[in-house]
Formats: sequence, C-alpha cells, structure tokens
Amino acid sequence: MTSFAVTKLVAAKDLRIELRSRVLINQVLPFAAITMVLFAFALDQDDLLVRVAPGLVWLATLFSMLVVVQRSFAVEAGDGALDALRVAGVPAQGIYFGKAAALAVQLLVLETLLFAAAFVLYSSRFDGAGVFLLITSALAASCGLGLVGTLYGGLTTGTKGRESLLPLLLLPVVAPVLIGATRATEAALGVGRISMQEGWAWVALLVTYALLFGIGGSIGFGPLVDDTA
Amino acid sequence: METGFVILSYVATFGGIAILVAVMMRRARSMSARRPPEDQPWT
Amino acid sequence: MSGPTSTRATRAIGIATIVGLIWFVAFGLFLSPDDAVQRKGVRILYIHVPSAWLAYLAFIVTAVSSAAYLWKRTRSLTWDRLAGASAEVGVLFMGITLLTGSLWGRVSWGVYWVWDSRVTTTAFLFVTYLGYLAVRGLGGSHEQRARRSAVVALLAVLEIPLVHFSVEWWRPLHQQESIAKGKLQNLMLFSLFVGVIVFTLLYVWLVMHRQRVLAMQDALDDRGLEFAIAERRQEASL
Repeated sequence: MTSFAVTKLVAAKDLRIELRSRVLINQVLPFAAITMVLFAFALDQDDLLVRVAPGLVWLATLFSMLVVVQRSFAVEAGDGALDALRVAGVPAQGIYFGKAAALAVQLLVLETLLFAAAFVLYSSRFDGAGVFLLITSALAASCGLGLVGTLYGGLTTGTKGRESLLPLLLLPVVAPVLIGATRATEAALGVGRISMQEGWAWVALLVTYALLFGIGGSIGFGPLVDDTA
Repeated sequence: METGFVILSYVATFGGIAILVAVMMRRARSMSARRPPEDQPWT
Repeated sequence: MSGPTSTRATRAIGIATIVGLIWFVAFGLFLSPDDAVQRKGVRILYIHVPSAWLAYLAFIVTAVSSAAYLWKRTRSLTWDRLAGASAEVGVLFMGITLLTGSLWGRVSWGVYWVWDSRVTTTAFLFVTYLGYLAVRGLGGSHEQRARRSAVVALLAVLEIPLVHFSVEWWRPLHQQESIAKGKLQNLMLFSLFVGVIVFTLLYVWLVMHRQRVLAMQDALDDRGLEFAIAERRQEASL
C-alpha cells in the first residue's frame, strides 16, 4: 500500500472519528469562543480589540490546537492503534501526513468560526481584496500547524506525564506561524500599518515553514513514535 | 549607580556557576560511592 | 576540588580556568577603562558577549552530537550523553546571557527588556533548550531517550532559523543598538578576549564532568535493572 493511499485512509479515518464523536464541535469550539470572550475582559478597550483581533484569533487557535492535537493521538492510544499500525508495517510517513491533514482540516474549521466570532465580538471587518489573502494565509498556516502539531503530538503521546510536555514543546515551535499568520491577517483586514504586499510576504514565510516541517516531520515522525530501541 | 549592576552581574554569574559546580560534584561523589570502578573508563 | 569524575585533563583545565578567571576579573573589573559612552556598564558586556557565544557553541555541539548518534555508523550513547551535557551547560550560559543582557540594558537604556530580534531569538533559544532537556527526562531506555532527544535537537536546528527570520522581519535590529555595542578599544577588547577564553575553558570543564556524571547515572540505572532482575529470579525460585 503506497504512502499516499495510507495518507488518505488515515486522514479520512481521523475526520470520520471526529464527525462521530464531535469533540471539536462540542468541546474545543466552546473553549475557543470563551477564550475570545476572556480576551475582551482582559483588554477592556473596544477600539483596541478591533486592532488586535488578528492576534487574538490566532492565539485562540494555538491554545485550542493543544487540545485538538492531544485528542488526535488519544484516539490512537485507546487500543494501541498507532503501535499496531506501525508493527503491521504501515509507512510512518503515510500516517504522519494523514494525521497532519486531518488536523489541518479541523484547525481550518476552528479558524473559520473564530473569524466569525471576531466579526461579531470585536467588530472586525473583511473587505473583498483582503479575503483572498485571509483564506490563503489561513490555509498555509493550518498546514504548518497540522504538520508540527502531529509531529510533537506523536512525541508527547502515551504514558504518564508526557502530555503536559506538549505546550512547552509546541508553542515555541509555532511562534513563526503566530507571527506570520497574524501579520498576514492584519494586512487582510486592513488593521495596523501593514500593506497587502507585506501580507503576501508573510504568506511566503508560512508556506516555507510548512514545507520545511513537512520534510523534517516526515523523516522524524517514525523514529519519534516508535518506542522500540 | 551602575557599579551596583556590574557587581551584581559578576556575582550572579560566577556565584551561580560555583553553586552548580558544587551541586554537580556532590552528586558525582554520592553516585560513585554506589558503584564499582570499571564503570569509570576515564580513570 | 577533585572528585570521582576528575582526571588529569580536567584538573589541568580546571586550574587554567581558575587562573583565567582571576585575570578576567582583574581586567574586567579593574584594569580596563570605562567606556566613553557607557562608562562602567561596558564591563557587563565582558560576561554577556562570551557567554552568548558559548551558549550558541553548546547548542551546535548538541546538534552535531545528536546527528552523530542518529547516524548508524557512529551510534554510541556517549554522543547522546555529550549532547545532554552540552545542552545543560548551554542552558546555564544562555541564562547568564539573558540575565547580564537584561542588566546591561537597564544600565544603558533604562529598560530590562526590548522586543528586538536578537533578544527575542535568544530568549526563544533558551525556552527551546528547556524543552529539549524536558524531553530527555521523559524516561524509557537509554536508547529511546537518545533517539527521541536527538530527533528533537535536530528539529530545533530546523526551527531556530525559521524563528530567527520571522522575528527579524517582525522587529528588525535597530541601527542604534549596533552602534551602542560598537567600538571597543585595546584593553577593553583584551578583556573581552580573556572572557572568551575563560568561558570556553569553563564550558569544556563543565561538559567533561557533566558527561561523566551522566555516564555514571546510566551505568547505575543498568546495574539497578540487572539487580532487580536477579532479585525477581531469586524470588521465583524460592
């Protein structure tokens, strides 16, 4: 079975599990929405909110991502499914890209709803030209986050005390995505003094990030999840 | 006034290193008491 | 100051380090002149700059050792322990860099922190190191620890440039800061040079000792395991 076929199967499986269990919809989205509300309480200034909305949306995404990543591997831990797949000789790369794709899709759903929340809660406005930039940057960012999340999620899954390591490892690594996605979103929404051109430059960074971690992750995922010596 | 910060830098740096060295040495001593010499190929 | 991890080499380096240290404090604090602009504050740089260099060197050593471990032909737990020891010393020096940098900033600009690319990337590197050390503590067999942390170290090599570029674009290094650390003359340059020598010796000394301590720890763990197995066997045969 080719790696690509495995990727499609694993991605479909993960998404199907999510559709049936609705963990993203029932637990993560409310968490993200509450985060958005709490930001408003903390920042306390309405005109400031629209200015920092892009950053807040991506922050809420990153914090929620921690839960989604852990969920992504919790479904494997149940019956030792991941180990069973590896022992059966399923290529690690296929599993990696499959899970990363499913994670990216879930993150895109999350981001869509968070931007909608920003529209309502922070009075963000989306104009025609910016929407294209917005969608592209969200796609690029989600790919990068999916790849990195799956990689470090695989490392920290499993036995006692490992899951709490995920934030410490993952949040620093995704800093470039936070910076790039926020700047691109600011350009797309027309807040802050950043031009559309610059916004597209940031998208280039996001794409580079995704490419580099795609390569690095496809090599590193296997050794990381294989708990044999 | 800056002298204070300068002194602080030097004291914190070398004091910190000294403390860590002392801790490391003590751990090494307590560990070596518990095992035989062939585990130390550098001696 | 000799102990179970000492050898002639470490004693020699240790003595050289202490001698160097005396020279360093002499020049750094007394014999070199105050700077025209920064006055006494420049003395903090004699610590700050060398420790930054050594922290980066330590990181490189960790990365190279990790690669050496992963490459089948040179696979040996010694590389893993070297990577770990170097990372620990690197965290120490990185902490010193950040602390002295902060104090220097307070003296020169009045603020303990600036969000420019160099400071931010350094802080980032520090946190990444901490994550690496945390991964080393995850448990499992020595080989599992070695492989896991080696992959994490190499991923860090991948991510550091990405972080550096994005932070650099975000907050470019301002002209004024390069000028502030600009020209150092003669005795000041010499103090800096002594600082580099001393910190390098310190690094080597610390890593040698620490690496041996880790080796002892691993050996103890192995013995502990053998001992426990032997005990079980005894129990079974009773």
